[in-house]
Amino acid sequence: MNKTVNINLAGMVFHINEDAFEILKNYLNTLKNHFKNEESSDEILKDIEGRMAELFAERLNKKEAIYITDVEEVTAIMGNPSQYDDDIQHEEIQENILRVKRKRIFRDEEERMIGGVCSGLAHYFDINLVWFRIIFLILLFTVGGGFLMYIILWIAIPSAKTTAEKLEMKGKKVNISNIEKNIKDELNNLEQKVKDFDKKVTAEYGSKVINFIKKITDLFICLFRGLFKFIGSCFGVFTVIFGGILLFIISSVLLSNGDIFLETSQIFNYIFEAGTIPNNLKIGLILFIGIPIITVILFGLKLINNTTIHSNYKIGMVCLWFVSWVLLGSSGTNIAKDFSKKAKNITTETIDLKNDTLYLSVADNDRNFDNIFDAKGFKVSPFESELIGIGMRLNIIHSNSSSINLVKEALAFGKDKQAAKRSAEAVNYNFKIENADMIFDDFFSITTQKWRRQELNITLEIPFGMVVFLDHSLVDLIYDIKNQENMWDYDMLGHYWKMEKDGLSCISCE
Amino acid sequence: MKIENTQSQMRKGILEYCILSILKNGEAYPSDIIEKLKKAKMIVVEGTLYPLLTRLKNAELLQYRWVESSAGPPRKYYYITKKGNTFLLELDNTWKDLAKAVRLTTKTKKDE
Repeated sequence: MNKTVNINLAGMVFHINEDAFEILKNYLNTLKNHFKNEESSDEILKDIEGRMAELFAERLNKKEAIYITDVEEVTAIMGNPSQYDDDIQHEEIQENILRVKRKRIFRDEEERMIGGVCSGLAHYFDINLVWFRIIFLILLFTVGGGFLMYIILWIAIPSAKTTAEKLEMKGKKVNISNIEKNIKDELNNLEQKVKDFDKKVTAEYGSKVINFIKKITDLFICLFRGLFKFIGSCFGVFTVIFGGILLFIISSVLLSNGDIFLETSQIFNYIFEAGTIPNNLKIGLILFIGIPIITVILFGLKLINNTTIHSNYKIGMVCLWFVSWVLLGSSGTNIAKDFSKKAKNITTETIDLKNDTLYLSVADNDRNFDNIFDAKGFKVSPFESELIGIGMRLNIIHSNSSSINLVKEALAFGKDKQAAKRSAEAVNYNFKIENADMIFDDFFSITTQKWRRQELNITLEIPFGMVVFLDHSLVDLIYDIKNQENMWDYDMLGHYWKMEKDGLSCISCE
Repeated sequence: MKIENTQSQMRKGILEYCILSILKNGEAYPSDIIEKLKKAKMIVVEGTLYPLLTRLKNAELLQYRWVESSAGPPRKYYYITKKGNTFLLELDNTWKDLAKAVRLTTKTKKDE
């Protein structure tokens, strides 16, 4: 379907397709420009228009509207000014019948390998085609992003179908002076309009003041329009470049399984059962992030290039975006499932000790846990190819027997009770006994390498009458230890505590 | 130096002479003139003719009258004026001289 406009050519009314109209208008403007210094340019133009009207009328026997091909044929019959063999000297000879206003990007399907994207880019940037093909091949084989970029460009860039588009595709290089020329053209156009308006106004009011004001305001409007067009183009270029880079990075990262952001991706390895991001989540993420970025890129292209995207693509993109929601949702519920059931694993170790006093401390292993993944106060960190958990809680209570026991209560989640139990059993926690020293590790390891919200509560059971010394290094480990003095955990450090019937009692406090 | 430029230079003056010659035989509408000129390979595109006709008319060598057309807008039928006829006679002579000159100069070259 095409939009048509009505034109009056030498007193005859024609329906003409909008695109054909643009070409016809350009042609007549070119002629007008050519004959502008001629004595009776109006008359010549009228004659030519009359002849063209006749030619169009001949062509409209069976159909109702004028198409681009009609305009092209008729303008070919009439010829362009450079073929006129006349004396009129011009600053520049119009090379083409269809004046190339500015360069636009099109796919060149005549020189295509796949979709003509590279050849189109080559025309647009005036760079040899081979370079673009090499770049895309490199991008394709090194990182997957190249493929996606190509597809997007294939969709976004229309192919040059009509002669006018082919000319625009190969047209003048886009640069500042061209844009300037566009603005000048715009000004000239406006000047013409102002002149027409002048005639009218002078005829009606004879007021020069109104003319003047009208002229000035129109001039400003025109200048601003030119300026906005220019800013729009710059903004468009910026958006396209920025969006392109962003898209390229994201797709490369996701397709190459996060090799670029290795450290971040390690977290995923510890969450997903398969060890890598599942494909449906990956695709979901690419679409979910990619489509808005592509939209931005297309918007930028529209600003520079006036590219209109077929509505099918638009609908397709919206659908794909919803698909991404579904994919993300299903992956999300899959992940959530893995955390749905909770289980406990309790192990008790009995400690042989002759002394009456036990010195408690935390091993100083000088480890820096990088990439700590923080979840509700419990932290996991990939450490030397192990998954490490930190944030255990130590409590001290009295033992029901005369022995010293260390009770390790591991909590974990899973998609069912058994899985949760397995995850809890995977918690491995070590401590050392050296003489009267009991040295705790400041981490526990998760042997399954899967993070399932493992938590670890350690309870030291000591018999009545036994004394424990709490070293300052326990600061992060002790948690809400009941004591008769009702002291805060932090204040309990550095003191000797004796286990009595009513709980620990400080024997070194003043 | 482009051959096209030289060719168009050569054609330029002759074209007016040709138009006047065509109209000498009676009034004509631009399309008729164009057809004849195209056949003679004097012009390639129709647009060439209209400025020429207007210039000749402004120089009062030609005049036109409007004729209603069934196929389109009213047509201009051109006819030659008295002044035009005199002008044409002069051109006839000039052309004969030129043709002779060209024949002579080109002949000399061939003979060498």
